[in-house]
Amino acid sequence: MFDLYLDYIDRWSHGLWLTASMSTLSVLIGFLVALPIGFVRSRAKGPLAWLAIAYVNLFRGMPLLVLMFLVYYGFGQFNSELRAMGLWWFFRDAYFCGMLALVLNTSAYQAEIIRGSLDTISTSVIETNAALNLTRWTAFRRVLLPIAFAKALPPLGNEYILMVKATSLLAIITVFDLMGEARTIFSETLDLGVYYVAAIHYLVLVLAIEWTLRRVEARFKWMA
Amino acid sequence: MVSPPAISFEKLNKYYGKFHVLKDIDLEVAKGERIVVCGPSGSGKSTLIRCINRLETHQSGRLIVDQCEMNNTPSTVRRIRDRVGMCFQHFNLYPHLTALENCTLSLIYTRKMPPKEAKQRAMEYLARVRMDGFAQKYPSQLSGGQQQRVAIARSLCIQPEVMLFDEPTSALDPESISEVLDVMADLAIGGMTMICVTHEMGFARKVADRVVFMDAGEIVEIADPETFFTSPSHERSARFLQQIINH
Amino acid sequence: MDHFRLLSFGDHGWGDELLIGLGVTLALAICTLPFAIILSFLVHWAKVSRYRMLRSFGMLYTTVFKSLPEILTLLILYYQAQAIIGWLIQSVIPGAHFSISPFVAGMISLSLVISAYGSEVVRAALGAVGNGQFEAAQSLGLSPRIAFIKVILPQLWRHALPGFGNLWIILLKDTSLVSVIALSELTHVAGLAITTTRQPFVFYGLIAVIYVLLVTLSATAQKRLERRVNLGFTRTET
Repeated sequence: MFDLYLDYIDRWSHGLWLTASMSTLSVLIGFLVALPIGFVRSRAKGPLAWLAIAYVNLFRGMPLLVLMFLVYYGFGQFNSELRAMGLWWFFRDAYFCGMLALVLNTSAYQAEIIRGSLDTISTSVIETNAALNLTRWTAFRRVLLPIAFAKALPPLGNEYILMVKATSLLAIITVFDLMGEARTIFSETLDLGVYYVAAIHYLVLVLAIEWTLRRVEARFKWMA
Repeated sequence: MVSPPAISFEKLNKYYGKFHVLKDIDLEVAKGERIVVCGPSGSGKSTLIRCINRLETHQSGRLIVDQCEMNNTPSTVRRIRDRVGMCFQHFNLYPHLTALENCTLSLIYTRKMPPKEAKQRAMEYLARVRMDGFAQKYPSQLSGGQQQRVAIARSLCIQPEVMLFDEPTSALDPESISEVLDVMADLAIGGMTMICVTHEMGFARKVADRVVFMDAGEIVEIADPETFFTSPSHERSARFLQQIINH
Repeated sequence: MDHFRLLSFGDHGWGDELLIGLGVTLALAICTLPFAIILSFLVHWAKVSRYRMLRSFGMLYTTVFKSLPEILTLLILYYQAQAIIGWLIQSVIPGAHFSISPFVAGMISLSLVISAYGSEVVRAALGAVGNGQFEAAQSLGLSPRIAFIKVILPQLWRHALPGFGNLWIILLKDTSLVSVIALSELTHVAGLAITTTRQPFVFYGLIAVIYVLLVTLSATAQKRLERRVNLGFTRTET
């Protein structure tokens, strides 16, 4: 099995890099997208809130695979319209389509995490802020935000790991991440060991991320 | 004629890993005797009585309950548990069953008693603790004191030789404490062998035959209540009494 | 409109195939769930067992199935089981062919993955029931089996409901992965429809909506059930 790794080592490395980079990038972009949505879910009422609810339920309600197909193949159906709008360069590329699907998916989950971290701050904290007559901005920036951050960190870290696993679906729309390379090598060698090599890659990657996450979380646990 | 002791500890030792939690315990409890075990927290008193019905295991020494030596065989453990009833600090009533069902569960499934008979016996004991009017209530509908009384009835239903009480009133608010202590005093008058871990010194003075004082895993002093409360022979006992009386 | 003709039932439309695909999706999820729940209990008991080997096995199990992407687990299981069983059959009946049904492969691999998360749902739920209940049962002489069935389980499922409810939703969505090994569930059928009709947006859009509906229905049902089940339980004084 070791030679299955060594013989194709540049492909494995390329795949590993793509998996790591795409998961990290999608989580970060997803976080930025999720921030306003999470706020709206926690605080707002009315049509804005309904839009947020619809967004979250839509992209958490469908399987990621279907979303990827929808973005890549589905929008591919409109190539002439997209060309006219000057957007075809985006939607014809599997990498970009995959990223879009990943970002839509993770932002929906992260929005709920952010909402949860804001909503579960105990009322005693809020009452204390009022009793101490803090301005809304100070209360938010100095008290609520750090607490929400500490609360959100573990589930967000978990979401990162879920994204690493989710990138494996990109292989099905022909992106050559770790899983994609594995499938190609398998079709060439028909050796099941290829998938075990891929499995070991994922195990090592995920365990490394988890180990780092535990250390980071430990620093903020007391704040939650 | 001297009847054999109900419970006998012989050089019993227990460790949690390296921590020596029970040190060379020697204690004999006669039939019908009422023992109160007291001491500072962490002294091992709860652990001691939990060994009696094998909720805790001991590593060396002997524990003999009703002439039956405790060991690891499931049948021995079951036989001893059949003769020992226990009441917990947090009552541990089954929340999804009524008071009556709490009492009959063990009778029906372990003693294989027909449901009618089980119900009859359960109502008798519920009446003894003055909870027969609440037979169809669920624990969430009862106050703490009421729940603990049902818990006592539940244990009495299996008609044990010995009743163990692990801080039965520590989780109760002051009004409920006396109603539970009254039930326990009634039991004592009826001749039940009882071992009670409690901080209720008034109860100890009134009901106990002997007080066992434990500290840091060992039995420091055993005396009758009058002697213990007025002139304890050990400095540690005196210190403990000082702390709880100056409350 | 053209699109409605595509989705109609009968020879020209894909409506009936999609409906069957939906049936397969639901069948797969419904068949997998009980296995996954039972496995969750077994894995949890392994992790708290007094035998070191079982504890290590339980830990290894959860680590592996939580770290690997579900699709990789599915592919490995499918091809490896195929290889092993095929080899076994070859040694008995040479020249015989055997293939594992993708439904069964999907069921097993999804059960394995879900149970890795499920074992933690079980652990948390047992913690919520509390050790005192089991101790009370023990001191009343109830055997562990009766104690579990009559005392622990009735209290447990109320605490395990949210956790397993969420896993059910994950299961519903993960069935789409089994399309990769050619199980004719909803996603796979949509893919087939597209190869002939060349209307990917219509079909993938439609099944996306169907999945969202299934998930929303499940989530609503779960919330209702949680509310009903927790109705009688107010906090008692401890």
